[in-house]
Amino acid sequence: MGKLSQIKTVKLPVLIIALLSFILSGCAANNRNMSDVAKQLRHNLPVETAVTKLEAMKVESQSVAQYALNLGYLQLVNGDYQNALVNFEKAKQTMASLQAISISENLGSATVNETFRSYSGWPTDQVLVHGMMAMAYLLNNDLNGARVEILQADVRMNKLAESDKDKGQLAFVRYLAGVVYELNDEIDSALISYRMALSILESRTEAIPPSLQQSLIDLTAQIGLTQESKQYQKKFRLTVSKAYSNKQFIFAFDGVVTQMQQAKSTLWWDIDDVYLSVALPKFPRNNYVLSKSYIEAQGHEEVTYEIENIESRAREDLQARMPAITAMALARAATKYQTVKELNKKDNVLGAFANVLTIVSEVADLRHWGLLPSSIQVATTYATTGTLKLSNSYGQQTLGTPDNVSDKHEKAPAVAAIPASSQSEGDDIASVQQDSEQNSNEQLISRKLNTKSKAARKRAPSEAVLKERQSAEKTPKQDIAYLNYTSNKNAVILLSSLTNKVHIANF
Amino acid sequence: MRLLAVILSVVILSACGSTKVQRLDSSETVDLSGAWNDSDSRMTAETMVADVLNRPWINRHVSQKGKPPTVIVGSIKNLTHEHINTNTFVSDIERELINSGMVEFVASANQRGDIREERKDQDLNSTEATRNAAGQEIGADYMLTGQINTIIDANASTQVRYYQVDLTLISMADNRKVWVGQEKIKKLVENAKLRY
Repeated sequence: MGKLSQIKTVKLPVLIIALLSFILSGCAANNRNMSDVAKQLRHNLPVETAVTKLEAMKVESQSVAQYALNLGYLQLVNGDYQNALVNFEKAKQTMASLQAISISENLGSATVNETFRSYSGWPTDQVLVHGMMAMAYLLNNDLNGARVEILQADVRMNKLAESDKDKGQLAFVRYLAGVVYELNDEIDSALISYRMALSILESRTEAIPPSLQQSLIDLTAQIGLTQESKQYQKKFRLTVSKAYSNKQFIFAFDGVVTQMQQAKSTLWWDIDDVYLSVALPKFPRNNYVLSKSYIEAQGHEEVTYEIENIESRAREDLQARMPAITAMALARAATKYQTVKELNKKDNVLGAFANVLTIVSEVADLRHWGLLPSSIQVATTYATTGTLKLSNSYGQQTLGTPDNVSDKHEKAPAVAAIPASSQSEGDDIASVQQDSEQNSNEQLISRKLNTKSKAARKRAPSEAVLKERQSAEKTPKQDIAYLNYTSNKNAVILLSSLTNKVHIANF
Repeated sequence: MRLLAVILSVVILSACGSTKVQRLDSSETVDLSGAWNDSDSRMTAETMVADVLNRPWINRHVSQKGKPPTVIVGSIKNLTHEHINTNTFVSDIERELINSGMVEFVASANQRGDIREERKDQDLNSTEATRNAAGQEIGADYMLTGQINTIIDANASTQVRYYQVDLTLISMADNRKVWVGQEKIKKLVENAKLRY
């Protein structure tokens, strides 16, 4: 009888660990699936298919926010603004409700693994969700809705800056706030937001996009801050814009952010005959090559410039969390070691079984907003009525040598212009997918070529990568749309390397 | 170890709760997140309507025109940090004003379209005795416009949310502002630092 009760006592913790390992395998599987979708998107998976794949996933309660962020983003670039807003709102509410420290989740992460925690969003996620929502509201022609989001983003950024002045500070969101205020004729608030965007970029010693430079010069002049305007003109070597009837704010989302990987170390602790295991998240080398979009208006070509490098922000967020993650991983390893050691003393077989479970259950938390673009770029055009020609070079896919890509592009037929009837005033989306089947095939071939060259590049020495980075600027352009722009209104235009759709909202 | 096992079991089993629904009186105040809610909308409307009805512009209008003033609701802008449905606030104001019996209301610009369509339809399909002729609408004497603003001051887990509702009643005849009302709400929201 005594023997039986001893076995029961020994088995309970093992069973608990086994049960938790089983339950938590779901979280890891969720993330694996989302990460797979992200990797496929970087090659040639259509966004519509990616949305379907994500919608079909069964999501664990701990990963609801991460899932909603990823799905919402795909819906946004796919033009499904209403559903994007629903998912972003869900993610926002979930992240807000998870800001308090959870006793049970900390206990779980200290004993089993980090995926026991609910995904509460990284600082970049917490701010960017407002930015993406503002973008969705804008493209849905809801300026007031966008305004609410940028106000919320301001509160969130101020809150995050309390602990670290650079934490969660996004130049893109500040710039977008400026755009929203400018569209709403709140010029003074717009100028403040543009100044904040400038301050963030300067503190990071990053390049200032010309569209931001021009907005600072124009708005200071408009308000009557002549001295400040002159300082900006001297600093940026630009002048005040000529009078224009409308302004197009162009945003380009390029690429898909790099997925995190697990770094797991297992060692044999000879003294107590126990395997120790520690798993930590890490980002692999950043292979992102910036790819710009081009806008030709009235014979003048504008190029999009990066305002936010999400690759860098994600890495900074992880870096900031690593001390806590590492400390928790070591504490967990110590707890698991102690448990296995005690069980080993009582029963070698059970001890060995428990040891296997502790190794299997040790997985790194690789959850992050993994479908975000690698880079967010901006440009402005000051066209009056006329035609806007929009071009890009397939974002992250254009990693091949310029020669083999240009051959394909030269053969590609011209992109169909948007029929005038579909460009009536008030159209908020101009879906300008290339309509010829041949053209689509050309695109596919082009993407496959690029994918192959990317795979080859992975094996190549890093010097080759550097050469490709240098040649990225020379990558041939692919026309994606001609917009017969007849509206006398301001406009917000979104381009994404994931789709060939152009999203437009007139204000 | 036993204690640990028990705690972990409780953690797992805590997810097995059922949904509970409790019906509440619509006038009951329930603050959950600290955001603008139905109670704020209702109480602000009541306070501001009480104020607008007790000001001299009504008596002045009645003595000059010999009839109660007719009011139309214009835009009430949401300039807050929240996605507030201003329609509920406008409805609360309309209800309070109409029920007071001291002013008359005409349909807003959005509502008028439907009414005019129906009137056109009546012209074609209704009997002579029941038909309502076009061109008989009452023009509003005053338009009510306004905005809701917020200022939020927050630190790690505490927020002060300040709401300011500004309403203005403007004479349609000469753009005179005959009444300006203001209502302020201040809330201290303390979020939990720990959760289960």
